[in-house]
Amino acid sequence: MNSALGEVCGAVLLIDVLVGSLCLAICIVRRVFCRWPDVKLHLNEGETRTVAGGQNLLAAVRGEGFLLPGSCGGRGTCGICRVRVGRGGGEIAPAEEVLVSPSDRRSGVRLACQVRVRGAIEADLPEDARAARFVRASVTACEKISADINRLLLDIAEPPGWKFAAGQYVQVFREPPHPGDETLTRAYSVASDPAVPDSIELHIRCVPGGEMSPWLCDRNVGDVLWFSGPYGAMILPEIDADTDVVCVAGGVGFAPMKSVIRDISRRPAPPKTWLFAGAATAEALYDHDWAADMAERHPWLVYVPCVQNGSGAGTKGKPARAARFEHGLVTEALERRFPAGKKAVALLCGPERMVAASRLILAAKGLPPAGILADAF
Amino acid sequence: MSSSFIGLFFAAIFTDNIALTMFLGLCPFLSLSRNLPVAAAMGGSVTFVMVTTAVLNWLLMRYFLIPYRLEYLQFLVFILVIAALTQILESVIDRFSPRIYAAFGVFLPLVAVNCAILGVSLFASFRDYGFAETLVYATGSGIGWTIAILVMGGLRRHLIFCRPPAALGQVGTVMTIASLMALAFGCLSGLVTR
Repeated sequence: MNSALGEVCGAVLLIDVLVGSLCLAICIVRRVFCRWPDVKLHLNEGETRTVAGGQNLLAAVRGEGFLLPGSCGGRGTCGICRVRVGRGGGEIAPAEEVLVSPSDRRSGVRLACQVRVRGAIEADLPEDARAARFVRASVTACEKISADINRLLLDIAEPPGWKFAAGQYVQVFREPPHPGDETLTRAYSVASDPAVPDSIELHIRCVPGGEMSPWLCDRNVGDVLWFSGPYGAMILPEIDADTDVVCVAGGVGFAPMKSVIRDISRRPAPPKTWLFAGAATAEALYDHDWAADMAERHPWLVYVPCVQNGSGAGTKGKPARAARFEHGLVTEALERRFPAGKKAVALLCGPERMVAASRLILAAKGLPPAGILADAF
Repeated sequence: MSSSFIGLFFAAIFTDNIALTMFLGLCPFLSLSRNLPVAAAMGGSVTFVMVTTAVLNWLLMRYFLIPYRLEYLQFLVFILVIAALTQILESVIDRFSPRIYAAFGVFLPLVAVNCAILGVSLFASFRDYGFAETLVYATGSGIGWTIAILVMGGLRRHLIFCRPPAALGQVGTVMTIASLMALAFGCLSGLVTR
């Protein structure tokens, strides 16, 4: 009995000693080998910062106060934290081969979370990351607008005077952020009018089991919410009077288009604007009444609602507004309705396949690649 | 003596291939063989960790577990050693060879949960291999696993030109190819006698 007890105690002791030794070995190895000297980080316009070596570029840049966007916590899966890296970037990581196109890779575009800072490094940050700020806001409304989409209205508490451009997006934080920290974030396009100060509207598709969207959809009036931004280059450029604007939206990709159309409606001479909005069913095509009403009131707006399943007619809205549903994919409607050879600028937001297919269709209709704007998320 | 080592080496690569005859390390074998460069990186990682952990585990077994009659703890000890060594190797490679670290990518941490690594250490222990035999067996097994995943990767590239029965599905097709590869590798027995 005593010998059996001694054996058990010996075995437990052995495992404890082994685990302790292995942990100690790992700690020593990391302490000895994973210490890197401080390095020079050369940013745009000759700006140089000294940062700790060994970390990834995303952490280094955020630690310096630049709010580079990213929504996967530095795991290299979202592909948002893009920077142009000159010397010192090292080898392309496997994640980048998947998420960064070959032409972008040739021009030096890297994912900051995959670039290790080991020596002097040159990085050109996008302008929106340099201008982005942390924002504290409070929820003024959280309402369900379709089976799985909520509208979130936020009042901005600070900083005062925070502004965005139509078509841009923000990164919402689940926890109050701290510079340099990797916290859970998700990107949401702003749907509100950029001319209305100190408030924004977000459209949230609740993804069952998601880490962010169900939590956001459960917010109550008065809750504090943090986000950073604005981000994104899907901003309508200055255009001639004879240039059309084509907005192609799938699902909650409608949000930035709503902001763009609100912005266009304030212009003294609004350009002819096509709004192709697609959803699986008429019920899922939220804010249809708003868009139909805008199209009725403004002759420059051509609204093309598209549903994949069901007729759509009579299912929502006033009969006159519900009558002109296109059937099938939004890309099919784009191909049918938008004339070839027309001078236009296109804004695309929605599922990746919809954006890719829309690019091909618009290119075939004569739009130059520089005239097709979309955000990579 | 040397001919028995050569026999052991070739048996570990072909006739006793750890993936095709023992069905160990099949998860990465099936999932990562779609892409040849990735398969090569994973093969290199597996071989490297397999050899180092087999040697270390042999030393622990010989000078620690057997003298204190604690052989029954070998599963636990081997797994701990594999997990810790993978962490240490990752840090060392990251420090001294960023190029190799980048090539290994996410595959080095994944090796820690590859059952072929544990299998080689255990088989060396069960078969009472000496130090040199363990080294030869682990090296052969690593090379054998790498060859198997590379051959599978090459064959899967050509699947695009074939029309396998739809009912098999992708996994069924790959398992059928793996079984034919196992037969082919097994047919090499007798080429080198131990």
